[in-house]
Amino acid sequence: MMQQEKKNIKRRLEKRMRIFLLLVFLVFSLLVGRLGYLQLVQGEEYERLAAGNRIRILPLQSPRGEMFDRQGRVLVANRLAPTVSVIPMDLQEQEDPLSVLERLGELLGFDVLEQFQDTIEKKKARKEFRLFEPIRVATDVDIATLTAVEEHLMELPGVVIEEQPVRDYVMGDIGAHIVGYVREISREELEEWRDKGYRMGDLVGKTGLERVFDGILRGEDGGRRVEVDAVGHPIRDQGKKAPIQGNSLQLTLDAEIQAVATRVLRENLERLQTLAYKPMRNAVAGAVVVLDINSGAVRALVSEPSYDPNIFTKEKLSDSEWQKLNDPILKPQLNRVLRGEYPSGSTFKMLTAIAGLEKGIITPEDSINCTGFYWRVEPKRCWNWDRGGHGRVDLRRAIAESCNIYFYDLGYRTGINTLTEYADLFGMGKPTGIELHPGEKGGFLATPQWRREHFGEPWQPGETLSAAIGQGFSTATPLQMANYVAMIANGGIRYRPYLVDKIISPAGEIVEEFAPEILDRVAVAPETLKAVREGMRAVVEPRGTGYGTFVNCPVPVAGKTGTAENPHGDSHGWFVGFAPAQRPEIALAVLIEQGGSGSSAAAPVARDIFTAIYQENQQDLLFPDSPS
Amino acid sequence: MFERRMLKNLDLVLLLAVFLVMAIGLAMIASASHTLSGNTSPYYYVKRQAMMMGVGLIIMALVLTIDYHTMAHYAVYLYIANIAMLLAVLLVPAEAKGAGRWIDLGFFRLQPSEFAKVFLIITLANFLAKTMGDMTTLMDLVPVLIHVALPMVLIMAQPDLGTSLVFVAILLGLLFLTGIKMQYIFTLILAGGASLPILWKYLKDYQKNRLLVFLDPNIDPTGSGYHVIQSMIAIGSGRMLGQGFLAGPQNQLNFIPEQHTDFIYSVVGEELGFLGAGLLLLLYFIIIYRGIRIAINARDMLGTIMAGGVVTMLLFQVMVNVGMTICIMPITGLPLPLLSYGGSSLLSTLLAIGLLLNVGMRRQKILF
Repeated sequence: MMQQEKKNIKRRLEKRMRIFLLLVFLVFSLLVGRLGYLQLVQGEEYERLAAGNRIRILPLQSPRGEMFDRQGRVLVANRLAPTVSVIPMDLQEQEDPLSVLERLGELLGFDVLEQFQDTIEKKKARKEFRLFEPIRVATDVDIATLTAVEEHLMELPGVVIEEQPVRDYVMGDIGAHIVGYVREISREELEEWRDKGYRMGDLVGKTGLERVFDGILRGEDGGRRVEVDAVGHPIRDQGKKAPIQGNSLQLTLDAEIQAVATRVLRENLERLQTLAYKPMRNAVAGAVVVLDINSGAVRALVSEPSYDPNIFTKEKLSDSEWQKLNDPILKPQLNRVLRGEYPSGSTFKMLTAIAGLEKGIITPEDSINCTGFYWRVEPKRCWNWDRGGHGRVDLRRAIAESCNIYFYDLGYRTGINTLTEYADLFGMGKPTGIELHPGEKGGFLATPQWRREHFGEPWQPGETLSAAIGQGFSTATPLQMANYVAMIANGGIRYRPYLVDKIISPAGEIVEEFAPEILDRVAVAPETLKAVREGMRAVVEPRGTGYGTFVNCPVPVAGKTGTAENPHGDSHGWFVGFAPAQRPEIALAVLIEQGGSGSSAAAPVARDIFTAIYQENQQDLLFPDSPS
Repeated sequence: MFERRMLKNLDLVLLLAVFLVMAIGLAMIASASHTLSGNTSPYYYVKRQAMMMGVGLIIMALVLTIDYHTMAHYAVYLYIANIAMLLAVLLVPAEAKGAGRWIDLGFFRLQPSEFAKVFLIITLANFLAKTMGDMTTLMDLVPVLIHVALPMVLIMAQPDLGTSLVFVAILLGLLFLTGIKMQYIFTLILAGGASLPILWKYLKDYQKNRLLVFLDPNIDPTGSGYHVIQSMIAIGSGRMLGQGFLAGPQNQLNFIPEQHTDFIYSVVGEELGFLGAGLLLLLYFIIIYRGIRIAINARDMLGTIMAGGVVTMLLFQVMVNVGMTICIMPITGLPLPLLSYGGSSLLSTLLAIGLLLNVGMRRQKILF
């Protein structure tokens, strides 16, 4: 029985083995058949293609995603630019390849040879060198040069002219610090982003949103497989993989407000430099930031001086361009809105007021008598001491007329720790969290502990008085100041300022939408903020430090001027504020480096921006259905 | 265990075919790699491969001295060692083309998935030989599937899709040879087919691309498609007699990708022509045919299944690798056994051949 079963198994096995052998026959027949077809039937055609291999890959660079403002107006787009490349394979076959490169260099006007060899070395080091892959030597060639190269193309074997998309920064030098620019990937970046599929020669975002959202903006490159003639010029397309464009960004930015703010800031810098009475010749730089107080959305972000990111589309910058970009005084690449740190000056006084009100040390109605001098702790004076001070001031008048004596006394009574506590609550001393590169600075909030650690001596009582009026060790960025004023206006909600609202696919679908992000809701009584807001409103009313400037402003504004003492030069002028005063929508901060007083340097900038914004909106109200 | 008279049973035809294939392999690696090595010696790859052949032949000889029944006896330990080795690769990854498949031993980079195939043949043969009589329902197949799935999942995680597919081939081949009802095998294939869309989702983009380009190289003309096209140009231009040794422009100018490893067959086709490439296929056919003979004449079921496993593995790899170079199979990154440059592949193939000869040596005394 057992024996019988074994025999059965054996028989079945042999049957299966025969089937298996048949399968093996089939497989080998198929392979040999196909081999014969390729080699014996089609062999001649393949041999023709193989003769000095006539197949090349020409990469098709994918256009990056675009950037729009919040109303869909284009901020960053792409355009096709002529590029000149060299295919090493076809060059190698020439008797004198160097002369080809020299000739090309003459036509293009720079040393192609050196650049070409340099690129090949780099590619070889990364094992990315392929003889048949073109190496780009010039991008965005001007039309005259291009024509010259085209005319001599027959003498330039291996040289290929193609069109590739390059960045088009539509607004030029407006908003350069926001959008940033792209440039060829560096060795360090290749190392750092090893796993993200970057290759040598890729264009990547270097600063701004181009950098932060590079992975989203970059698409997927495609390519053409072409048959080339004897001198390496394409004659026939053999296949094409279309490049896929990257996703676009819709920003929170308002292009109009951005443009107006930039224009106004530039005009005022010029005005300050040419003041008849006392020209502020060092007033060459400034910053403006406009936030939506109910979301943290950035409506405008201006840092002056600026630069035009379009200059980066070419392979090489000229010396003068490079020098301009790296001017040690103007620092056009520095984004002063988030990387410039300045003493906040009198714009800090609202924080001192909040601390005092919240701790029950004062009520809005409590008043002191300002004689122009303060004798407690150490002798200090008010800015209008020579006119005998402010007289009797309550909180409202103290903010409106920026009375130092009132805040010295308040600071003295609240103490440095309480001031620090509230400054921290309103975002001082730490980054706001905005999504920009290079990363923002957090300003600085001086504490007694820091004082001890860095100077080896305790905090001095007089330093508390300075801190109470925003002078001394602490610093803030314009972005922090705008965000803090927004908190006063919105009832104490600290939003993360943000620039990107939506990510949109090339097909127009929303890939991701960013909601406003609340970082903190500070526990401050509504009455406290109301009292502070009233004081800020009084700033632009008669006797206030901003009255003269805002007297004809079409929208009711509340704000505060500030003049930050600068040991290295003229004072920095500040204005922070929000509008409309009764039902706030936007908050802003203006800083003029070495512009002098806040009321003369910064307040006019704020007024012009508010005016422009609300004149626009009034038009919208008048013609609500008008097509735009 | 080892008796002199067994040597009489050594399959010399098979052995000769193996030596011939390896000899062609050395010549082709020399041709394919002498321009590659860069600043090292032009014969760097050939020397390494020849050295590995020596080591592989010693291992093969050693394997012959151990009765395959003894190996089956220790199958449990072999299985555990196999899993441990594959886990080690995942835990200590070495960077290579984005996939951590190797354990760096300094002088040699061990690729455990190559050896895992041979170990699986031994352990699965042992498992099937013991249980095949009892396999009457579909549920009885579950332990077999688990036996294969465990190492296979570890290999897929590397990720090494090609070798995972070899596992599937070995499983199906052995189930077929052990005489499982055909309807069960079809059920398995259907179930596998149904799970493909799920598997597809977990593949990386480059893997999807490589799998698809053989349908139409033009979907990715600059990437994988380009490689296939260049390989076809190389093979086609070889025509009847070939461009000659060291004289194939496609190979010499580095148009063929990975020309000394995965695409070595393209070099054979280009430089040796239809005669050379066809002869090579004939040699593979001889190896596989002799392997089937060994399987049929094996002393017992264990021997039959082991030999059958080796044969299935060789057939599948030759079919997939050669098929890839002539664009009738997708690109999976499987080496061509005995021919492609690569120590692990060579050693494991020689180990498998050793296993085959081992079974053949210990066959029944009376033939036919």
